[in-house]
Amino acid sequence: MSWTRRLLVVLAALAVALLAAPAAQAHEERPVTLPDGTGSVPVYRTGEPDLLVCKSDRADFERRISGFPDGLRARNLRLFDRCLRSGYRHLQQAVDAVGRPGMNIAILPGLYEEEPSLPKPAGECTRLKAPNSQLGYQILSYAQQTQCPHNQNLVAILGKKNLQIEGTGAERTDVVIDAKYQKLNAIRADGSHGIYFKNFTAQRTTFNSLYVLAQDGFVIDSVLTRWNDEYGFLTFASDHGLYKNCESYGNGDSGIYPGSASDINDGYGYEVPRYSIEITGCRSHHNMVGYSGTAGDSVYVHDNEFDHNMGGASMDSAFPGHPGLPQNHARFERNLIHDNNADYYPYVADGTCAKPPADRGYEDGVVCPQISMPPGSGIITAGGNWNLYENNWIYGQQRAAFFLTAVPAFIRGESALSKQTDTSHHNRYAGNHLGTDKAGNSRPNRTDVFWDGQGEGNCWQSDTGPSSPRTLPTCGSERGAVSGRTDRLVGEPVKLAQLLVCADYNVQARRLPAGCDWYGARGIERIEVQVTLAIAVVLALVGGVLWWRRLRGSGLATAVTVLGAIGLGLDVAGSTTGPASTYVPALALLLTGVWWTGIGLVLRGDRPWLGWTTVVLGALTLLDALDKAVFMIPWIPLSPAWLRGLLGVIWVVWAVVAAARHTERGVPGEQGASQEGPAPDAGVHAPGAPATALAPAPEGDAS
Amino acid sequence: MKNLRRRRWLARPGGAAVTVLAAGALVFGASACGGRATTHHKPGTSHEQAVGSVGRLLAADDGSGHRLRQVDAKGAPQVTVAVRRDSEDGWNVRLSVRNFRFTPDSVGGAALLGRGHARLFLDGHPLARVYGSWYHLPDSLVRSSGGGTGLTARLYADDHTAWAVNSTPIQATTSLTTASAQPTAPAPHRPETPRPDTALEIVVSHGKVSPAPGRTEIKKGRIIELRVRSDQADTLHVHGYDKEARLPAGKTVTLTFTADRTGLFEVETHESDLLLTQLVVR
Repeated sequence: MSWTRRLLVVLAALAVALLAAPAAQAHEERPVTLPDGTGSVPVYRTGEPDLLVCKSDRADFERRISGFPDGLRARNLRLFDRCLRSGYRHLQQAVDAVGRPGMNIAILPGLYEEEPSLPKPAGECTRLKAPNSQLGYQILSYAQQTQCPHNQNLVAILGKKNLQIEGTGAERTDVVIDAKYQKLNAIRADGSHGIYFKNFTAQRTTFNSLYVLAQDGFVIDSVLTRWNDEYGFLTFASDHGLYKNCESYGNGDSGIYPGSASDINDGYGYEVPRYSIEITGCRSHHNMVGYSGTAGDSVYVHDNEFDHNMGGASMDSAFPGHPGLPQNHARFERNLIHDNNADYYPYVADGTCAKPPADRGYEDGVVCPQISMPPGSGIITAGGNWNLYENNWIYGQQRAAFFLTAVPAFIRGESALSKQTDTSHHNRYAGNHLGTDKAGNSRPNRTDVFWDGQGEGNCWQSDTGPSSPRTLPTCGSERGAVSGRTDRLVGEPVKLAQLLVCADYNVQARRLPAGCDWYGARGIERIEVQVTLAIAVVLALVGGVLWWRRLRGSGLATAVTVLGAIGLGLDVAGSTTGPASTYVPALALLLTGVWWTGIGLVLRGDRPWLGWTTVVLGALTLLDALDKAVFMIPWIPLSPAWLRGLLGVIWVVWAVVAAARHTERGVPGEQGASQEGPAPDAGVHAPGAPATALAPAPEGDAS
Repeated sequence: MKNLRRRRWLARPGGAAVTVLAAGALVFGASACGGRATTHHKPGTSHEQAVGSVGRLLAADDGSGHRLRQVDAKGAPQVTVAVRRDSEDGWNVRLSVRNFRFTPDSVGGAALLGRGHARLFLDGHPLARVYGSWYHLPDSLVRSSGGGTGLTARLYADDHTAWAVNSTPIQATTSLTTASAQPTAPAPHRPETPRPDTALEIVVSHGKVSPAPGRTEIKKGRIIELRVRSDQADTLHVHGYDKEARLPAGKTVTLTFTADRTGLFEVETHESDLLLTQLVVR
């Protein structure tokens, strides 16, 4: 597709998007509010369990525990005998038998398929009056969930306070709760404040393995979740939460998702009284992203490993209806975030992800990425404030260690003008080990930072390697200390154009935007290269004609035109993947700026308006180079690139007109040159050149 | 993650500034319905839930304590097994499966149609669990398992039930003796190479041929094997039959052919021009 056609498509998409606000729904949940925060993080209770769950096959059980340490085996045998007498065969039966707060359920080693919960709904449960989501299932109220707990959940824990559910195996894989892709959720905890999950595996759902909704107080301890269409762990609109020593992999969205964690620190700076959810000692790998949180507010994420995903971690403010938007106050410390370079988009392209979930082959490593995102990124922040990213190890990322962009508020359904630029501000990236693993080996990231340039108070450590833009605000030693005072309302135009093209992704339509390198576009296929090349060709043509018709008499103009040509060439080179995060783009701007300034000065004698406009264009371009390579210019609301782009369009038209016209004003070369006071060389040279080169012009004029 | 997508969002531009922002907004387009809590982005893949049970668990077992899981013959997993003698030790076993995926990571989970693992048995004696299409079966394991010759590969589900059709386990059997007559003998030759009738071993060292060049009488139609080692890189050539072989320095090279023409034929090296032997074929 040609770039013009692509541009038209993009503009059309923009127009459609702006004019028709579709009533489409996403995956919905019933309206929930954040808990009041009066709860607490539950504490693990030792001691004999109140209720037991086991399978009845003794031979199978003894095989499963045969390798356990003696003490644990003896305990399990004891519990098994008791369970055969007075226990349950399915976890749901035990949950249903919970009669008071604070009970403990022990699940003995075994495979739990929860057969009684599996059948499709029947009777009244098929006739619930509830809105349909776009996916075809219903958005049930809490009362309806209670009435029909297995319409969507394999195990439903509804209204059980301070319940503890623990596997008694040696490993978390000794107790497996398998939804076999027959339910949206394997385990749903709803209205059950203070729940404690420990030491089991939940797997194979068409949404989430472990779902915690609107709860004040929960712990996920040594639990493994895997092979889900969306999330391993989804804890939504909750407070007083703790994830520890968990693991998740093979999820189409993220392994760990603390979305809409309680927004308790809104209004604070970096120092906060407490965090709503703590995540530590977890490993999340081979997912689309390891960690993700729309409105992941006040989450303290430390000492985890997020690796071999498409992206390590992500937080954003890009979705409506999440309590606590915009996202704020996540704190990432001492995490290992590395080698998140998986590319699962080919599974979308080849039709694997169009099959039913059960047939996709998740167990063999297939992941179906649900949305568009830049593979190879360490930490992505798409609209977020007051986030702290400190003392992490981020290495081996083939795109960028840190990816930061703004998201205007109307995206999340808030149209108040004052909110449109309320992200991304005050994000601090400091003291991280970039491009180095924990042993000190060099494992560089292709770039350390990709930033759209928007927002105030964002800062990065001074030792970042390649970055785009090449110069960044630097963090001082204190939190809050930032070099410069940059505060832009909108990001860089070329980056927005790129993101725009890349966002045109659709799993169901198997549409992978061709111009976007997230999906494998390389070299000239990339939209950035195409746009830059097109602009360079237009400018080279216009500049060339202008020089030939009006300026070749001037030595200065000729010299700067040559520089301009080099600059345009470098601009194209600088738009390719490698040099984009070096000084090449800034050098290209410098040379192009010199060109415009130079020819502007030459032109102004003959055509003062065009001349001065060209000088301004040159000055803006030089300013842009300064802004990108030396320091970001403070105070201005838009980057010089925006003004330069707008003025550039006007200039191109103007210059074409000026070059195309028959000369009506005498001998421009002479006049222009004669005013070149500070360039005696040009002064000497110029009168000779036009006399020959432009000789026909005065004649034609005279005739 | 709910970011980086477009096509659904609330766009109520309140003014020019918002319109400008729209470009950036497109990147993160999302659904817009305010009020209602949406925990997810727009639907990505289909989230079609699987239905029904996977086969029927029979009371019968496979003979080793694993119950049979019966499925319809149509679309049922299939397996074939082939063996090839390994040049060093034992056998290379290859399982070819249809309607089946090896899923080692989910073993211990529930049975899902068309996935699981295989088990190998030697005359009914369990040998190993197999998680892929290739398996090396060492001679030591064959011996310690009773030295049988009937190798059976049977397919199992993740929950260790045996896949079955018509109450019969899905399996395939081959004989460890079919591919070679002497499975226990060291096997320097590939099994498909016929045994030579005459073997000549010749060494060239410092321009000397040993044993000293002479005549070898061969009956027409017999298979001749020449095993030649030269201390210098050279080319072996059998006149008349026009058989050639490269002789890398210090390596024994074997040239096998059938003596299907009568006459006297010289065997020589080309570079050093040495006569190695003469073949008399009658």
